[in-house]
Amino acid sequence: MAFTGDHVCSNFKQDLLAARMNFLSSGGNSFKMALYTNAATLDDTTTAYTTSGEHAATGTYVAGGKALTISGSMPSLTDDVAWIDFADLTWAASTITARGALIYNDTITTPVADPAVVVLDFGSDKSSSSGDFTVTFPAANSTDAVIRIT
Amino acid sequence: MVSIMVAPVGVATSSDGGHSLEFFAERIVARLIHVGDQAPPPIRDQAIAFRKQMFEVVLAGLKSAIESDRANRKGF
Repeated sequence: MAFTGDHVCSNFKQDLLAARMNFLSSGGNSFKMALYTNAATLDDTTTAYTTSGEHAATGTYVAGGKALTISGSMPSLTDDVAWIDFADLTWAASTITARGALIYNDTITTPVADPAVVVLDFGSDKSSSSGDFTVTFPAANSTDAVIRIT
Repeated sequence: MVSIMVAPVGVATSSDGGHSLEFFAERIVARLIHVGDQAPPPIRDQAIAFRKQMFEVVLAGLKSAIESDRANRKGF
């Protein structure tokens, strides 16, 4: 199975309404990004972090991925659009080949542990070799930010 | 109607070493200064020129920071 584009995970919508997601840059939940190969099956039906299809825990890549840093003053509201932004995330000195990623909430344990937020499709395999693997986030504004509620 | 949207992310990789200073300077400036596609041409041109200036400022700052860090490490 392959990646099929970027997806907002359906359970994330319910988690928002149930107040189980806190994106405050100070005092909010911890969010992580895990990297996956194209063997992963991730889409809007993904409910939580999974090790299935995740990049092997070798070198500097650790199972579960890395913690994301929520930019200051988040979440933000501009022109009736609420949006959230993360700092670019780098696996330094890494040898990684990944096709996509999952952002998930690493704080929540019930009703589902590590609930999924969004699936990110890199479009093709991206590889680092004894170098840096950096996921770069779009501009932090109401029209480009990675997660927006309009 | 309320919609939740996710925007595409980018990936930058390197081999046999890390990213260049120019990469980090470009990323910093891109995150700080966004030039909209729909902006009126005079404003857009001005913003692009400003972004180029800021790129040089940030790049110079990064170089200074690295030189300073190397100097500090020599002290250990």
